[in-house]
Amino acid sequence: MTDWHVDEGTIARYVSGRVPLSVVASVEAHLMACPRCRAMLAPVVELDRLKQVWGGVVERVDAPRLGVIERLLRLARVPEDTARLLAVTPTLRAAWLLATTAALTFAAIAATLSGESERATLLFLTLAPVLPAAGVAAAFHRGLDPTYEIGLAAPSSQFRLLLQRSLAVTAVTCLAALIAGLMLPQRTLTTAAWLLPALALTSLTLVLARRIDVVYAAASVGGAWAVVVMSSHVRTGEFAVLGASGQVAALAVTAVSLIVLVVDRDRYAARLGGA
Amino acid sequence: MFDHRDERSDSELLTATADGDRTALEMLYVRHAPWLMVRLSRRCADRSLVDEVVQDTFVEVWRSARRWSGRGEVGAWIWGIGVHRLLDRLRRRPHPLLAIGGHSEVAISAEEEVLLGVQFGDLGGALDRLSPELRAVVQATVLDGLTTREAGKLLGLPTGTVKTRLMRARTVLREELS
Repeated sequence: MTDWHVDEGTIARYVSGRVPLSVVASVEAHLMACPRCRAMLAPVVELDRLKQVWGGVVERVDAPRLGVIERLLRLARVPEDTARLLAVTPTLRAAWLLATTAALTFAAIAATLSGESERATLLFLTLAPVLPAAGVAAAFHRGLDPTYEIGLAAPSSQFRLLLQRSLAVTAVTCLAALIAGLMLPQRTLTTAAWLLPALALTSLTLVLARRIDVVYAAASVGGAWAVVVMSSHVRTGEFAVLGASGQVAALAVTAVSLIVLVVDRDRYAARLGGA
Repeated sequence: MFDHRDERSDSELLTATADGDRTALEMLYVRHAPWLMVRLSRRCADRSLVDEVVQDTFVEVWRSARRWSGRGEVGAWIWGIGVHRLLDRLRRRPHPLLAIGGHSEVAISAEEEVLLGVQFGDLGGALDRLSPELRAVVQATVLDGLTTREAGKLLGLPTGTVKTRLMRARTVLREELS
């Protein structure tokens, strides 16, 4: 390093931008190597600004490692805030997923073991559509959702959050049901027939959740579904509800519910999650 | 923040940072953030962007302190990180803003040692007399240590143009000095 150092006047002019490029070049190259002259530059930048930026550094350096789900979502290029809100959905957590899988697996195994495959299939097909609805309900219930308050205060639209979470939960639960369904003895088309009713029940729950507590909404929708399935089975001995007309009806219910949700989306600010 | 004194040298601090010493990182920040901010502000007029870049830089210093070769100036290493973080941020935004400064001096591709103390030499004068485009290109490649491709990204020019201007700058300077 040469003996040349930057004098205060040059520093001041450098900072203000009033020097020719050759001076800029000298000053900058010198500063990279000379601690003494660097210290001269320190008081030029506002302390508050430096502290603020440092605060940001600390936050990121100290940030805890992200969970698996959030890392996967980020890999899929989901924006950071959405990924965080999705990852903390209570029903995307291991405990809930395990419970759902357990319930479905139990139903499927019962079907294989009992030999009365029809009864067991009935159980499975009653249960499968209800689970996504229950999952969505639990995802938003105030008691279960740790981010309920944060979600309310978030600048993004409540409705968007609602859709994103419901979609995520429904997708995951349906996937679990699909896998469990492969274990059913009767591998006919009937075993996939729960999908449209699942969507119908979930969207109906969301619509009802505008008026009543989301858990009650899910419970009543699920209960009504169970009653409908059982009674139709008892009366006709078949799964009429899951036949062609039933699918069409489910599709119609889904479509209407979604339309209602979209049209009336401003209503979601306070209602969801229970008052 | 600026009160505590640390007697360790920059390279010792960087080694300590690689081992997870947060106070070492803080000391590095105290020593290097101010000049980094000023120098970046001369490349980019957007203050909040500069703040983000400085933040990015020190987070990157924390994460990749291990990768420092141990040779050369820590300041130069930090600048290398800083200017690439700036490029990164600019790439993400459709941000055309770059403050190369009001001077239209062109810097020729002189070596760093020549640049030191050059303001009193002929070369300095010649540098200061070049046109703005040539100057910008030389500042980006020689001073900031970017490749021609990166310089193109920073200035919003195609790589070919950067190379042409560099060559022209060299020619002009050679003529002036001979």
